[in-house]
Amino acid sequence: MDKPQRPLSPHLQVYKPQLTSVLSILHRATGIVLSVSLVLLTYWLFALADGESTYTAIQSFLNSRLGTLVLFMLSWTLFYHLFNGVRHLLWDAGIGLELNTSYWTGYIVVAASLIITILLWWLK
Amino acid sequence: MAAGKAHRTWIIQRLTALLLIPLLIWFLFSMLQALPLGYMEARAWLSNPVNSVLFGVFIVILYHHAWIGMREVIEDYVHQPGLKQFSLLLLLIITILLVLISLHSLFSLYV
Repeated sequence: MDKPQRPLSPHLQVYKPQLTSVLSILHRATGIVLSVSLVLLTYWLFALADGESTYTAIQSFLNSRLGTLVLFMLSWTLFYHLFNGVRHLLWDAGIGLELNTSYWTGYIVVAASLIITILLWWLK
Repeated sequence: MAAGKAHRTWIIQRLTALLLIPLLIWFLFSMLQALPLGYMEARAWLSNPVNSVLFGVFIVILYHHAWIGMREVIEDYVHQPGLKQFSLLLLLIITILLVLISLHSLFSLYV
């Protein structure tokens, strides 16, 4: 039997985006992207086991301009998720839940993820 | 004490997250070493037992963490009961396959 379709109050269309909510959905989005990237990680291991031509193929993709861009974006995604993950773990321990604290820790997570990504690629 | 599967899942997600902090640092340093290598050197690097055991542990913990996360995404956005169960099952199968392929590839370097 069909449930009657009741109207829903607007939420996403009206609620002003804030650092807290944006970083929260970004944590989920980066998590999803990283989960998909696990297919690439598995394929890289498989290629190494499979033979030289398979491995050379994926290596030349990773070394290409597109591949380098993909790896750069993936590392930024990883650092964001990692640093914001630490922020989450601190919340789980009851630390930093005050509104002003979650704001400055949020800014640190965004800045650090970009800075560390750039440092990593510049120094490697 | 809050019993039940949700509680256990919550704990495992935090536990895997904590373990992944040092493991990811290791992984990043390892990839910096291994990615520039040619085929034979990369295989040699990975057949070092320290590297391959750590990599195996890393894979299991990482993929478990990712599986739990993706499960929550499906639970939150897929509401049609049949489609939800199918998606969760598909996710589980894909995760298991990826873990098996990864571990098999690691172990094959010893043969």
